[in-house]
Amino acid sequence: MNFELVRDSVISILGAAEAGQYRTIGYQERASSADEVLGNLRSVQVFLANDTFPKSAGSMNLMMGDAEFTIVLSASSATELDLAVLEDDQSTPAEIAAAILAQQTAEKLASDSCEALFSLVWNTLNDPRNIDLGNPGLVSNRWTGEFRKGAPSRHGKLVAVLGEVSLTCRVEEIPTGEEVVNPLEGISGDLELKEDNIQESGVSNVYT
Amino acid sequence: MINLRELVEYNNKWILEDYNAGFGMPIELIDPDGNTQVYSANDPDPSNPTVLLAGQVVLHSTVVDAEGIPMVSDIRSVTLRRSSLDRIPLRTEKNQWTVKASELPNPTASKTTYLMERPDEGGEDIGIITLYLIRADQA
Repeated sequence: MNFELVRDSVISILGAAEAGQYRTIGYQERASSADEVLGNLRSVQVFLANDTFPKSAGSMNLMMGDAEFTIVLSASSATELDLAVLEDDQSTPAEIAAAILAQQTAEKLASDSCEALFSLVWNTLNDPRNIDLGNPGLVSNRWTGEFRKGAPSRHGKLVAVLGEVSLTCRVEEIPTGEEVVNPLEGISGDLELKEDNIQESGVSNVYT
Repeated sequence: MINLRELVEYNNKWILEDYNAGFGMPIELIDPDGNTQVYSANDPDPSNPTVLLAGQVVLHSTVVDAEGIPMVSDIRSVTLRRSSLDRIPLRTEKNQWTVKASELPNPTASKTTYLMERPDEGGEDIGIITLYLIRADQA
């Protein structure tokens, strides 16, 4: 179905914009270590959350599906401070105390990292060049409707923060039928289907 | 004959601080004022100390995740004998103490610098204190 094309396009678009700032993963991971998303190893997971087909959209030729993709943002961080001062035997107690006071906590750094990652993803997906997510004629109404960030959580010696972005769009779907079925196998005798002049059946060119 | 309090203190000494028979590993503590403790407060010769501060280093702990499933996490901690410390870390001094400890079971291995995320919630009654650590990176 076309939502699969769109999902792959979203992965490609985000992957092309990485520039070493994050990693794009094209599926939902069951679990990952906080070490795996440390610093610029932070990850972006893209997967389909749901796809709905309003009945009023019709059921003959084209169908319009409202696809919602979930983009999970994962980031982690350690506390940062001037270790050079702490590990220098010549440092005075006052210098060491100042270095400890000037630390940036892992909670703040991980939270900031997740928000910066959302900024990167949002700006990439909402670039006007990506209005159809690379699928002209198939996609409309792409919209990043929500960013939800979780609380910092301690994972071993690191702190991790997860965020979730909801990307919705309308995707044109064309039912292709079961590819393994040959309609001629179930028919005996001569068969002649006329051209479907009113273009409603969707089978006009199967056999003439 | 020693009493039970002295027996506990004796056990803490060889379990937590002895390099050969116990779990002892050299530890360095830096308090919030920047003062570094390298030698044990129990050193018999404070004017010319030679007994290094030592404690038990644990690199992994079993924790329960949000779904109630036990899992092993690399939550690091050091357990020290209270009487060996010049100053006892307080619960209000979160992220203000620095701990240098080795990640290898080798007393001569180089040390890694951590921040004390928090001290434990007990242990006073048997004379020990556990410090839970968080990794520190160069800013």
